[in-house]
Amino acid sequence: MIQVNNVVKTFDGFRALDGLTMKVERGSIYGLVGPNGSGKSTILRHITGVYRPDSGSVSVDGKPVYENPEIKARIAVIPDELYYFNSASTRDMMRFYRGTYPKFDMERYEALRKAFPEVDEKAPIRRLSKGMQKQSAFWLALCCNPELLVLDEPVDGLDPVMRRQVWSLLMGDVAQRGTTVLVSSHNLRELEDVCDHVGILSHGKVLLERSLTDLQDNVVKLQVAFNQPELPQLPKDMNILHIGQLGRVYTLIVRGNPSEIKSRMAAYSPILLEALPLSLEEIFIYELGGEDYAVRDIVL
Amino acid sequence: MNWEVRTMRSGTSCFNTVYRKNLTRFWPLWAVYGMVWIFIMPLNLLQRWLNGTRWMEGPEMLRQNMAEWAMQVPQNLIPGLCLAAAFGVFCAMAVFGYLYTTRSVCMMQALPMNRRQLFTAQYLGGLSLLILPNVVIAVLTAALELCLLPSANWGTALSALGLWLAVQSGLCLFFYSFAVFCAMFTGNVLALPVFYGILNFLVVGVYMLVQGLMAEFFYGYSNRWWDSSPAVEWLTPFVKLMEACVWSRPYWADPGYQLRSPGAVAVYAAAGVVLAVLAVLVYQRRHAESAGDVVAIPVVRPVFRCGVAFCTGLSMGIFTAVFFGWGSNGLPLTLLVVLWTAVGWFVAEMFLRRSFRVLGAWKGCLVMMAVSALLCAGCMFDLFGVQSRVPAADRVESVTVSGSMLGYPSDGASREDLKLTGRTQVEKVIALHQAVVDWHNAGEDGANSGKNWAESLRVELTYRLRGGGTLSRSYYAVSVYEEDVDQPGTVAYAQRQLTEDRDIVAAAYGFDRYDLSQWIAETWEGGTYHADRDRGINAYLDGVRTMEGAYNTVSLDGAAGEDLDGLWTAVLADFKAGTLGRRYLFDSSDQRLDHTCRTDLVFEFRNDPEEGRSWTSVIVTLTPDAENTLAWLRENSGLGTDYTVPTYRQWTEGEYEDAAEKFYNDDTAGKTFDAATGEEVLETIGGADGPTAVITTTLG
Repeated sequence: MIQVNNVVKTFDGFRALDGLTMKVERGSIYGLVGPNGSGKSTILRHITGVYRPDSGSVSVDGKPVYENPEIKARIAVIPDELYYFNSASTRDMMRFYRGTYPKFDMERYEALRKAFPEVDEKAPIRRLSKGMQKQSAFWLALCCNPELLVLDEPVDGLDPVMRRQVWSLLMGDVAQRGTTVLVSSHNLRELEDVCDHVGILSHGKVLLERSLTDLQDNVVKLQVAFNQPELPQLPKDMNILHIGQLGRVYTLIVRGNPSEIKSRMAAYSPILLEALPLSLEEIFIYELGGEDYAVRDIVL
Repeated sequence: MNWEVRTMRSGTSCFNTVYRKNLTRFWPLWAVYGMVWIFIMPLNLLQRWLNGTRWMEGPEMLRQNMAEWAMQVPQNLIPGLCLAAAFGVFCAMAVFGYLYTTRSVCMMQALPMNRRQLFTAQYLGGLSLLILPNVVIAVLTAALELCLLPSANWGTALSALGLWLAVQSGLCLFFYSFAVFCAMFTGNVLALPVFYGILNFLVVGVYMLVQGLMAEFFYGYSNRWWDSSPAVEWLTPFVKLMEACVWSRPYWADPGYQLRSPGAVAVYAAAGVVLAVLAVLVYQRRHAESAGDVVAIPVVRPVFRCGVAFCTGLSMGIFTAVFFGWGSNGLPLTLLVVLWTAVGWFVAEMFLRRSFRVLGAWKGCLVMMAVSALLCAGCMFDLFGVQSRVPAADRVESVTVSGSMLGYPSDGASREDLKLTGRTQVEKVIALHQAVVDWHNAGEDGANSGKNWAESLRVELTYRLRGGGTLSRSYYAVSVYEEDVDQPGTVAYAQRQLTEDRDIVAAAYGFDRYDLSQWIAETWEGGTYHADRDRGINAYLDGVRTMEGAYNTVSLDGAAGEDLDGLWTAVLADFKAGTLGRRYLFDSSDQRLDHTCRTDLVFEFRNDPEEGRSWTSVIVTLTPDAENTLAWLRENSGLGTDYTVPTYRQWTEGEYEDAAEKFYNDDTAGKTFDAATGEEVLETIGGADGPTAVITTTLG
């Protein structure tokens, strides 16, 4: 659905995107994660046709997005900072989007009123709370019946019930309409629940990009303990990302096939050996640790 | 339905939606703009009609006045120009305001439109905020005119209204497009009106600054910024249009009301279209991420930086130099200009970086300072020969000189500028110009050494050169020495050649221009002006001495119109004989004192179609030798019986005597003096038995 090839974007000498390449499959929910300033919002603005890349290409269904109304008509976006016309209500914005998006569905608008019962559609959006504004944005975006929904920090400001409501609606769209969702968020726990693909950005590049299953299958957390207090000399080809110790129990984060690594570790006759799946947050932290982006122990 | 068809339909729908949204979102703009016009036009018409029904004498007079007012509708183009200029930028700020914040630009440019479609929808939306009210106002006014005016006046009234609509819409088109063009170059909503205002007057401003700098550096350089070239005028649209939109009717002209320059309005309207096209091209290349930047287009940033530095350097440099009185001193002026250029550079850098930490840009600043220093050094050492430039006679088409160059007496010949075209006359002016330059170049120790100062001369020259250029110079306090009168190459000698040229003097007085028979005046009768030849000329004597010794003005009004032909003929005859209109270089010379009178003869002519003025005059100082003129005056106006015309010497000597006598009389009248001391007694304090104290002052 989305193909981003080697995109470079520079702002006043700062290279925000540095040859970024990524691919989003049709019908998938793709989570874009990365530290602050890694270029998440920038690449989303390229994908929605707002920014023009300095070099490289951004295409949707094989066609460039920039200056392409046909493609842009199939994309709905909820940015991290919402914009609506001064004094415009949800109903006003609905009329505007109804005139601009060819697949805007009025029946859906009426139906979704039940999903967002707290939103006063006649009240100026600027007077609504942040969470209500987000609900209004979701309401309108879903009514556009987009093939691609681009979300930048979408559930920020929503209460837990509404978050679940929104994700449920999105999952329903993906399942029933084949909508592709590209979502950027720092809430990795939530992304882990909904995303089937994840891309980790760092310094304007995609550090790694896989399905969540592949990602979790490629890293394993081992908890091991041996008779002797020290960790035995492990083979050098074992790609250990992190070693932690609590008493005699060691926690190892190792990249590779979990069962293979577990069997190799079993050869050292540990008294405790347990392989645990990593959460997305852990993967994020340990992968970026190799990119010199780790939690630093700072004494104040 | 496939995507192509759906998107094509969507494109139109999207365009319409965005266009309509502009009209509904920014309704206060068209509402206020329209409301102002409603009061200026239809309500004003209605108000006049209502007042007319109450105060005017009869329906015919009311109808005539309403018809006249309807013809004057395009006079509202002058306030309309101001409205178009102001609302043009307001509308541009409104419809393209989304470019100035990241949130809004991301929303708008993510819409299923390309840049050109979005620009067009926004541009037309903004333009409609101005044009649609214009149309509505025209329709309302037309409806009122049809109701209130007699059908005979409908044609002229509606054509005047149509012209108003066309010109006002043209003005709106130009100013709005200009503002939109400016809007494409900035990412800051506050910077837009500033850029717009500056660019409207930038060219004339820079022209003034350069003229000011050269006037400070070059002796005699004329800072005639108000007399700028056509290019400067055209590139200052507000001023040019202010002049072009004048709607007036010369009293003597048959066609009635006319727009002064409809062509200029058409040119600017066309320029508006061109600016809109240029704006869309810039818009398509503009980066969305430039929201918030003072200058949004990267290639324009160096231009902005250099422009701010240059203008700051010149304006503040000249101001500071003049403030400290160093204006004519080249070195301090140069240093100040260079210093302020650096300040301007860093200020521009602050705007561009939106930070006060800009000293890192010192390299560019040094380059700009060097350029500025070179410019000033070039002026200081007159590398281009500006100061010593005197045109060759064969390159001069005409020259306009100040009347002051024709010496004394100070009558009509010395009061107004004089345009000379004859080759010999131009050569004489050039000789004087060269003499002034030489006099200045010789300096205090050269031309002036050992001479008695005699007269200070002001020389103002404007050459119109073949090929269209002009060259202006103004020299003040040029010393004219009596010893130099017969010395070729000196200022006195050159000036004498001018004052002795009777053709030049005749032209300065206007004797060669005026033919009494052509003069007409207007009279207001029956609500309109009528030509009146008899009342077009008037004459009087200014400064005659009455038999009582007072100096008065004697009107020759009894001999108005064609009766003054005789006086005019006498004056011309005396001038031809050389007994009237002689010029003198030195105000206190014996010749001047004995051969000119205190009295001026003034002819007033009303309505000069050639000069475009409502009146003009010929003023000539009488002389005791002007036999024909004096004879006419004796015969027709009481010269010799009611009044005399004393010479300057008689006047000055008589005045001094009178003044001394008057002073003494005024000073001593009603005062008492102490017999013993001769002191004036100011106050006496005391009783009947004599003063207790006497407060006095010494007389004289």
